[in-house]
Amino acid sequence: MAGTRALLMLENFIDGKFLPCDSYLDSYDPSTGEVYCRVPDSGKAEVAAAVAAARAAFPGWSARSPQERSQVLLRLADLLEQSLEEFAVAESRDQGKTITLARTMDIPRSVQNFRFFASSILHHTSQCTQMDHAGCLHYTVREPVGIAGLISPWNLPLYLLTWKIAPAIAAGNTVIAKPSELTSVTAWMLCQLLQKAGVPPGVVNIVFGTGPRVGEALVSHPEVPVISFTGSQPTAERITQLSAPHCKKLSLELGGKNPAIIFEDANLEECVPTTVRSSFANQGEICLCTSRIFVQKSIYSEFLKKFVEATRMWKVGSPADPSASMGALISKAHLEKVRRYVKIARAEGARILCGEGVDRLSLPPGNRAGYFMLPTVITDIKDESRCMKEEIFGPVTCVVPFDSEEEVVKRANSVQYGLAATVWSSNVGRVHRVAKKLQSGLVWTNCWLIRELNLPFGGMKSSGVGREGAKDSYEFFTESKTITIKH
Amino acid sequence: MATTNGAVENGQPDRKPPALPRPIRNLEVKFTKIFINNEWHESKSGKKFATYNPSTLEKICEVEEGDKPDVDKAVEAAQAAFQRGSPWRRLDALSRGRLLHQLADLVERDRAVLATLETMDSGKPFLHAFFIDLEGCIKTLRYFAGWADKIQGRTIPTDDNVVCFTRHEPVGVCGAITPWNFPLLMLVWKLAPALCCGNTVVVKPAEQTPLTALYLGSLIKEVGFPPGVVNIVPGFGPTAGAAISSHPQISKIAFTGSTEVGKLVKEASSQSNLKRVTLELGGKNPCIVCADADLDLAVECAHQGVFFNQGQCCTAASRVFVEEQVYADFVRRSVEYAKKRPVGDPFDVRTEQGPQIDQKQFNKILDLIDSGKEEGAKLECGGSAMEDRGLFIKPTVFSEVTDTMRIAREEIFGPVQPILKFKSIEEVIKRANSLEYGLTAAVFTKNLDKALKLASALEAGTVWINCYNALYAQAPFGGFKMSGNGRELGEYALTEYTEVKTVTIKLDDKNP
Repeated sequence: MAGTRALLMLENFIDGKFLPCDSYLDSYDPSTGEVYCRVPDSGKAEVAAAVAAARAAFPGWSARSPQERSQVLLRLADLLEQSLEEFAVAESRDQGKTITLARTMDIPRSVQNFRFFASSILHHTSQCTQMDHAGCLHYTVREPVGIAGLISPWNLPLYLLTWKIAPAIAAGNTVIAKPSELTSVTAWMLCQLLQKAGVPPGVVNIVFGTGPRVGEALVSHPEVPVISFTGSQPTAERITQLSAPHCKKLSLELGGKNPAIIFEDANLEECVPTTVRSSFANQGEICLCTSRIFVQKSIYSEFLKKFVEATRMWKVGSPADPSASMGALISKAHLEKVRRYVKIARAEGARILCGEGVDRLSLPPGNRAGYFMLPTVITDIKDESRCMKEEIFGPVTCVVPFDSEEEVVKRANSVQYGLAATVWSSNVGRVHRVAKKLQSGLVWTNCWLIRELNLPFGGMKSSGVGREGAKDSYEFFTESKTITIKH
Repeated sequence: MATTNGAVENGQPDRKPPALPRPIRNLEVKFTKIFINNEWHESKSGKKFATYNPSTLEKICEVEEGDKPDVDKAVEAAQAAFQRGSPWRRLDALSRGRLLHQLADLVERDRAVLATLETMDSGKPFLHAFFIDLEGCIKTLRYFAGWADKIQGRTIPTDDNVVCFTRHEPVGVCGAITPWNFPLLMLVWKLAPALCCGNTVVVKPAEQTPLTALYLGSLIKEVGFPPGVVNIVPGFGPTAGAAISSHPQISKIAFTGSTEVGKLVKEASSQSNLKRVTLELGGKNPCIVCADADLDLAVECAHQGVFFNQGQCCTAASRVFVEEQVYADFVRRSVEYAKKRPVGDPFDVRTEQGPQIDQKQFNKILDLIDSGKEEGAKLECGGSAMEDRGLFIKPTVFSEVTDTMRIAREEIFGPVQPILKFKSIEEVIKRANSLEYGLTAAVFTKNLDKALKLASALEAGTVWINCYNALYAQAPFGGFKMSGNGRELGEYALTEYTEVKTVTIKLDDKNP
């Protein structure tokens, strides 16, 4: 059955045209383990063509008023929204996430990304001062940088791609994007909407392929002064090295080993279901997922019991199954990597309370070759363990007890990462105090993943460099110029 | 969903303006009652008043006449809509902005109707109402719609172990008293930021021009703003207006009108509950033309600057200071322009100038024209009413005007251009700043030093360099001195409709 279906052939989108490539990569449906799609394996030549197109389109696009560019982004948002179901189905198939999540989070957020920046671009002001004693007027203006290189990951493909494209082009830049080769389908579908939305040729170019081939060509290109990257730390290091000779501006959104800190006065009725979600949503493949859960001793056993019970209700199923809470992991290799962490924990003497190796996973016949695993809870594990220090990026979380506020803050901060933290307590002084002390770019108290797009998003320490948001993305994708007029 | 003018293909936005619009023939005036809680009410007193077409002098219709009891009822509705936990208070910011965007959509849909009503009620040329008033309304609504979800406080580091941040909250029930010269536009200038910040509103439009405000009420209902968020009480200043100015449950009032009435509004606020006050009042705006100016540009801008809207603009360029060397030339060219200015039926597409708003204004303008003649200014053209033409006045130019003349000191608010002579920059700065007004100023020069020196020195809320009446929803507008208090438009407008609350949370060091 699977082999008889024609493969979906993606094409690069350069200068407003779909172009074939010399070689292609296989792309898999994670829920079946089958190849269903071929992705262009682009390289230097494709990047050169994209740069030429982006360079040519820049003067016209950057000369348009913010109002005009805003109108184009709004049209693109409308078109995407009109095709929401089609995009959701495609995203779910490509990434392995549930159709429900694609339908309620991925694609709606992608629409919102365009609408959000279409609006925010109309409300920025820059600065101005007067030195009357010296007869000087000083003012700043912000200008687009030129061509922006955008590299997006496979966990929230369209969501994170549009989160970069929208502010970049709203500010007047032209872009060359390289989505992950594992999840290129919705990016390619987006290209089909661009012309209708009124995006001129060359303003958005997408070159598909791998990091080492097309990604490196893009980040090393001297005419791409700005790179926005979301992905893994090793890749970020490589990007930094390659772009260093050109002094490029970099925004790096990397991983996390995010703590959930649950104090004894937490509202467990809300905390437990939210912490299940924060651990296992999107198969645990979100940089913001909580993978170290610290629970104050007095409520530790109660929490653990409720948490494991709730985790067992987190259903793993075919992505198309509307009752599934979670789908397949992205790839065979990644599934093996995640499973290996569980093995390591077991070998160290940790206890696996549910999930991998403990419970039975039953899947429909068509999905047995897919990359599925059960949400897994580990306990009795040391802070120094690899599972407590390294990003697993899967449906695996560790739960450990703590005594005091001072102790747990220290332990929460003791990893190399610092992206997101959640704090559960009903004490007003405590939530603010702990939030202040955590080395974390985002702190959610008594909730998880409530995004305020106006405010900065990003991580401390090895979780990345730079911030994204209404103001931050605008500043990243523009250069500031200070003008002094003496009279 | 926003509509755009024309199709968009091949990535090229349609930059053509809409085709020449047509007024609605035999327009039926549907909305003549008091608008409270999204419902139409008769006045408590049973009284009505007439509104007239200044062009034909005919009565258009009768409108319910609101007074204190009606204002009280409107304020009650506005207060209820503002209660903590009400649908309006619980609405998220993005949705609030969306309602304003939808209102802009409906104004755009009914643009021709609104422009027709505005012309009937105020006498302004239909094409001006359509392309200027209505354009301004739509842009302003959309601009503030966009601000709704961007209102932010600040987190403030202090030298204590606390978290300190500010909340930007709505003020409460806001009163708006709006004028007859740009009836709908001046209303939108207040309504848009007020609603964007989450306030509720009670409006009293000018008694001469209530119709477009009431029509807007119907659109507010159609969009689905919760009842009580916007209430409109047509009526007169000394009754309905005074009731609003002194109402103890109105937290803020915004008034556009004469300086004389502005003072009364501020006084009433002090006597009642110290409600916050913003005032947009009169101006006697200097337009300074230097010898090195692009003279054609200066003449045209000064002409439009004073004659636009029948001279009935708070921004009117009603003191034109021209540098000696180019004075004669400037006067000659200005007179040419004035003589050519087409005065007539505001529904005629060729008309640039319609009638004055009413007999009272008409008389006042003619009185000032007479004073010009009597005090020794040189009448270059015009100087009287158009014969047999009701409230129409000939475009009038005076030269040899000096600072002590009434036409150089008092706001005329009519089609009269007083042109004065100056010798030096220092002198013109002093003279320009010598009045108690300070709304706008304009400077025509090619020289950088002169431009910036004058921009710094002039006591005016807006200074235009080599342009006139360049107003944008993004840029704040308001007066120095007795031309007003506070600013409208731009991010600055939000300050007037926001109450700042500082919250300080102690972080004690105790470890529980």
